Amino acid sequence: MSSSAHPPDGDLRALLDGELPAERRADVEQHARACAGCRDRLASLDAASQETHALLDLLPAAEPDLRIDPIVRRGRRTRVRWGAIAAALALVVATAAGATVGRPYVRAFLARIRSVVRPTSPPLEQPAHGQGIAFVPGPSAEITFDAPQAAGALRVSLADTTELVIDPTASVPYRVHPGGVIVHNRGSQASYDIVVPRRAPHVRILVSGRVLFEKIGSGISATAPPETVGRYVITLQ
Amino acid sequence: MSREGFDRAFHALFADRSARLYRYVSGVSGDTAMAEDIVQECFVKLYRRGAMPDDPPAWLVTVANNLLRDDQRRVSRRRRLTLTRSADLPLGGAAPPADAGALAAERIESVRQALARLPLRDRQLLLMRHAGYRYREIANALELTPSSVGTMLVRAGEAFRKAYHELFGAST
Repeated sequence: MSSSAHPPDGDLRALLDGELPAERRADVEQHARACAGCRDRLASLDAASQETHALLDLLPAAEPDLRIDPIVRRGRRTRVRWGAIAAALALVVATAAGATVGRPYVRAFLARIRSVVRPTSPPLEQPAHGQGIAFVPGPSAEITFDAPQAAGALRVSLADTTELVIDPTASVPYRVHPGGVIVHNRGSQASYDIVVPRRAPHVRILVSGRVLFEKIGSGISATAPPETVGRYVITLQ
Repeated sequence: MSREGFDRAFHALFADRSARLYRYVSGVSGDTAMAEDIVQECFVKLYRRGAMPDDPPAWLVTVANNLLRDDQRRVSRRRRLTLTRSADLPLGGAAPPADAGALAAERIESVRQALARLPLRDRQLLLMRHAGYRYREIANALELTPSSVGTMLVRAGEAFRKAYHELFGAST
């Protein structure tokens, strides 16, 4: 830098803070000695910096209670890495299952785990007549009938219950999944009494891809008018 | 560096830098209790790291900034809830007395609000420098070039003082 060029404010500030690299400091100091304007600017920046620090000093800063021993104790404590533990467990189970898959006791064990862990999601079930299907619907539940039927009806009613119940007049296989139920009704002539919890936020009933009944909040749309208050009879043909 | 060497360096760093880090964190957060927790957490993380980073003071500030940011998200949510709740409350109440204590409190509040008006980078810059960090450490922690720190400090300082005088001038 030529000593005749005015140094930028950043350099002057760095000079005041003792942070200007030595090779630049000599130039800036030499210039300031000969330049009244830069000396004024230095004084002005110094005053501004002091005011800033004085204002920031107003912020309360209680004496901290910082001790190193508790920090070191915490630092030495082994962290529990739950993610790693879960991964290791999964690996052990997968390895064991892979090594022994096909053995009857492993199959029985896995079936038992499935029945315990996912009681509401059996692979495919055949309800006993009169028992029906019942589950607690999530934020959005869908009851899907695979196929149209030549006979039979849906009798849908609202009730102050927590479970959504589907009660067929004849045994029909079904599959429960996280979003609702799929009823495999191809070739069936059953009718279904369906009880929808009044508090369920969203329930949809579809037959062969067509929406026959939908409840969103307290609003209901159905392909048939209500027979009585809160009860709809919809033919499946 | 051996474990013994690291432990010695760790203790020296704690003795030399914990109070400075605390000063910076309490300035940014405005919460002295939280600042203590964050400073401790920074040193715990460094201890667990088991090796000194290239620029330990800057590394500690970077970790502190990350912890502050995480905490700020939680605080923001709490503040929104508080504001919603407060909106239900009746307005009014006596104005605080205009004595010396109230005036000092007003000044402190104006400083806080003036800082809050600044972009985060400017706030961090001013408070790091105020806590005594060197330009090189500021540059490393905030990912700046060391030669730009002086210029940025001048600008951030001007913005801060202008905001303060607007706030304090308006309130007195």
